[in-house]
Amino acid sequence: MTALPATTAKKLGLVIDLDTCVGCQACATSCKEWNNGGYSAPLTDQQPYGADPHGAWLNRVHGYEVGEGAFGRTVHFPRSCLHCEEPACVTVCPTGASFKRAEDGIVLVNPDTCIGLQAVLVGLPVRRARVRLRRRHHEEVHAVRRPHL
Amino acid sequence: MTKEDGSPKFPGGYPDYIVNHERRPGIGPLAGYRGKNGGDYAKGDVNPRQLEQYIADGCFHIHHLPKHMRYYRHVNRAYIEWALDKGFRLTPTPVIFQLYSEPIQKMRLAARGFGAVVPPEQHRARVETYFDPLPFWYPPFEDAASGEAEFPMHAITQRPMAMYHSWGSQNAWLRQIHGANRLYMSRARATQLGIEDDGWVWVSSRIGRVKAQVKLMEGVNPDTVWTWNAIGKRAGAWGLDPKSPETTRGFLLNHLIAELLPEQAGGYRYSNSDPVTGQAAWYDLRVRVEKATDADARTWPRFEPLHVPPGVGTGTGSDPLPTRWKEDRIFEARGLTPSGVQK
Repeated sequence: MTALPATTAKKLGLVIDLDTCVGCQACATSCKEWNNGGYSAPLTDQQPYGADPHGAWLNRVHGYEVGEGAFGRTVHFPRSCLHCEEPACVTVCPTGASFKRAEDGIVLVNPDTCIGLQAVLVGLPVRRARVRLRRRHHEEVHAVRRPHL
Repeated sequence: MTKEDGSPKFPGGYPDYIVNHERRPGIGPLAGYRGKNGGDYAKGDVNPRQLEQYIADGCFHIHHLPKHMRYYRHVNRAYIEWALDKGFRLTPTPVIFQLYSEPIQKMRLAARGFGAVVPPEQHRARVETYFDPLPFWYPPFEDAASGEAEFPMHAITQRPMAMYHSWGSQNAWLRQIHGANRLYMSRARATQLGIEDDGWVWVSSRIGRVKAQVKLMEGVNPDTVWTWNAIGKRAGAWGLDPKSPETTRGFLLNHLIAELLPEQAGGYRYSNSDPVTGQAAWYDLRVRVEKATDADARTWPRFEPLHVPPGVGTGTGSDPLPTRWKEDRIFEARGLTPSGVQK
């Protein structure tokens, strides 16, 4: 299993204010846009205009309702990578494809060494995730959206 | 854009257009660095080095108004005259937001018989009532038209933020986010009506009914149901597969909203819209929600699929499917999942 760097020069993270998030999905689509044209591209879509459209996303926003009656609150939860201090998706990876970069603590996947084992998803704290194989292309990791709103 | 002889007006493409197009003399797509040397703002001759200067400035240009133009700009004469000269505004008139609306009061006075032009006799009472120069509340016309006992709930729509325009429905990414819509209703009210979460319901108004799948929630008034607007599509619309979720699980409230209010005395039917602005009264819709007992887990009404547009399909005999759907059908026939993986 892949080892983590003992220390990283920086600890970068992404902070999201859930009190402010309204679930507009703009971060999810712009993330797909950016990554679709660069590292690890393409983030493909299957049946884009068909009966079961789905595809690869690196970020999804799920909506939930918490509490009952007048205490009910809608919470939107952007599920982007948090670049965990001890990322379970890295330690579970048998090939070193999933790794934490020593310089800045960013968690990355090397598509050339990834064998699509999907163990990464067992380790992911974002549990509703799955891998779809697209013929002989490299695998795509994407969270399954369970929309409430 | 072409010249009179049909040759391109901007042969250099978009950068050529951005720099050289003028919608009015001296006024083009970019306001900064106009004029021969780039010294003019908003209005000035075409500057061939405009893009370079923008790039050098980080693709921004900032123009600061002089202090006396910065405040109260809706009635600031200096600002209004400057804006007129620069083409930001088309008239030198001040912009006044009226709480007590003089134009509406003129309408009311006309309904009372003042002035040279007065409304026809049969409309005067309505104009006088609703053209009130101060905003006021009155029950929606639909309440009386529908009957609150028979149609006890309001039904409203929202646009989903991820796809503000309905044409988002043919965006391959956005339809993964909002490909179908539910009828959201209060859990407490649904329990009273014997409706379960994810169950199917009939939603009826005075002119028709639609079938939808519910999602129960706490954060909605028990007398109101709502859904995302403009997700539902007729089969084949927008070039989507006729089996798309937009068709099988999407629905529209449009079928429930009447164009006209019921007959008045004398048979006249007013438009079902705001009497002052003419805005359609979509939000006034009243409905009744009942549990659906049939087994068809699809929305209703359903229509014949639209024909595939010319040039999109394979164009051969009995196979009207667009090429992009065909692959999925081949996989289906071979017992493969849509991604081509053995089931």
